[in-house]
Amino acid sequence: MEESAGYAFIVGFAWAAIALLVQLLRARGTRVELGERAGSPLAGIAYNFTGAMLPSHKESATLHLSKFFVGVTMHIGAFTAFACLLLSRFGVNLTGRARYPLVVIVGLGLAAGIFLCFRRVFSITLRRISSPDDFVAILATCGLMATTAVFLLYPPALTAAYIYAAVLLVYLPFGKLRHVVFFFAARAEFGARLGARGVYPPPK
Amino acid sequence: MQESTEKTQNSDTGVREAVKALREAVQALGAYHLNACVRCGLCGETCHVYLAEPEPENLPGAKAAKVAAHYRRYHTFLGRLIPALVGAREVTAESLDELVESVFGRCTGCGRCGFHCTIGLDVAGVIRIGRRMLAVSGRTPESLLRVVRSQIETGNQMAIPREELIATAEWLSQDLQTETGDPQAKLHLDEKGKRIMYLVNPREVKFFPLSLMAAAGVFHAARESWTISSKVYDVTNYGFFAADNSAAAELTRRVMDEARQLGVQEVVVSECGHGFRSFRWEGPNWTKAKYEVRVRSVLELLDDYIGTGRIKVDPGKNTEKVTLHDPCNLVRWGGIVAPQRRVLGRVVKDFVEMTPNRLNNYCCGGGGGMLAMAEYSDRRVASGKAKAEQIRKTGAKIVACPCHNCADQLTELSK
Repeated sequence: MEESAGYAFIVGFAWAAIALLVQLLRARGTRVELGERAGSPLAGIAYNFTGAMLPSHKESATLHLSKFFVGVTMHIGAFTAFACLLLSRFGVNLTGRARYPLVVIVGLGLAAGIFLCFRRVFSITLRRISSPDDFVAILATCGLMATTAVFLLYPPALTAAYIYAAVLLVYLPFGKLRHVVFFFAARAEFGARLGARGVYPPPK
Repeated sequence: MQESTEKTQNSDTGVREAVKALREAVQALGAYHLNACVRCGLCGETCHVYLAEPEPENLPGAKAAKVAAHYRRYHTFLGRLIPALVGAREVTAESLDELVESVFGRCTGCGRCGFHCTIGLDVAGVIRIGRRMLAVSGRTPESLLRVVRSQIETGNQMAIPREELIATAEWLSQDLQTETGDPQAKLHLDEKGKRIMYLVNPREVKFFPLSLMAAAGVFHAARESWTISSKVYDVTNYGFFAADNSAAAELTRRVMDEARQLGVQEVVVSECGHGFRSFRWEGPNWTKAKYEVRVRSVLELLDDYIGTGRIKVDPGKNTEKVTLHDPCNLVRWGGIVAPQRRVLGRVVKDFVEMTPNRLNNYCCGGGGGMLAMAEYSDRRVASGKAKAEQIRKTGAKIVACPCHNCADQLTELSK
């Protein structure tokens, strides 16, 4: 049963990867920027993934430090949870003492996710701009971290964790969770455009 | 040619055109930014409009979401199948009417939100798609369309007759000759074979001719080879604000055709944020052709003149405290950040930066065509609060402002 669930997880992963890749390719624009370059698109991309992402450089972070770190904690927890399942699928033993730090990371991520869920429910502003899919996304992510945390503490729960993750991966290309790839695509595109204009890295 | 000036009588046709414009924008520009917003809600305080009126409708993410909702309805699986699940929305006459306020009345396209977005989303780019949908469906505010029409029909946004520019150039030349003591000093009009063609704001011709004379004086001191075209001289491009790509392209083409006809090597754009952005960066995309001539901001030219010693300056003549406003389209979108600072560093004694500055500056509130849209003037003035506070905190008596639209807005704020 665990082996079948593991295969389902891998199939779900492959589905999500292919579906997202197709979406990324279809979402590319055809226009080529024809203005004579004043800088380097590659330097712009590099800056947009480094300097521009520093909390000190982004008011969405500096003016909301606690929420920013909660968000980061949630993402680290979610990716750690996913990595735990992937590693287990490829035979890495996560049942020893090494799992305890992982439990902490995933557990903190889960707590952060639950906070963000409540924030979305109780914030008038966020409720105004949210759709049901926004709640599905955060709840699904919390579910991934919860099932993985349970597996880490109780290894026989791995089957359930695989099945949960497989279902989430099937849904992933359809909803808001697609930002897992579109974040990179949007930042790269914007960075390239600003780099070509000599805007990024910021001129002194 | 003027898509948005042809009023759409049939609202269904407007809807079809808006959906088509959305599809074309997605094909051309891509859909990364339409897919990336996570509705974190942390973009509010980056926006000068939200800072003045902190209501959900002014959240940059909320404004972009109106456009993204339409995108999801027509271009995503769940948006087609279960629109309510993903907040997808059909384009209707009603939804387009609602969009007008969001993308014209609550956003100047300054882009500050995008630079501080957790995702790195080009919110202003998404807003522009919304403006495009409204342009083709006949919903661009009439006040903005009037300026576009004036530019297309008369050659400049203020409908200044050519004879007026020629007459102004004549008396300015006489004044310049008196000031410099050089009978050769003049405003060069329509002269072929010069190195530079200078584009100016029609407001300079109408209301601030002394700024034209100042530019002529600088060119004279630098022994520059330059001319202004009496037929094609308007540095502004309101087609850009109206997302009327045909008009924007036509205005760009006229400038480039005139540059070719006069045989110049370079087009120099006077102090105009969106004008610089339009001609330097967006123009080649509108006309789908690379330029044959170089395009630069007059700030870059001034920086060159001073840096190479072609003109000598005396900071002792400017002893009052001076601060600098960074026009969004010039700085954030245009990349002209350092030249004006080097110039100021050499021509004033006491220069103080605003905080924040450069790419992080606040919009003055007058951009995006706002100054032309009287229906939003109350919000426009109110949204200048953040900028007014910045200026106040510097204690400066003079604000150096390399954009006429911004200068208008700042003048109003100072009252």
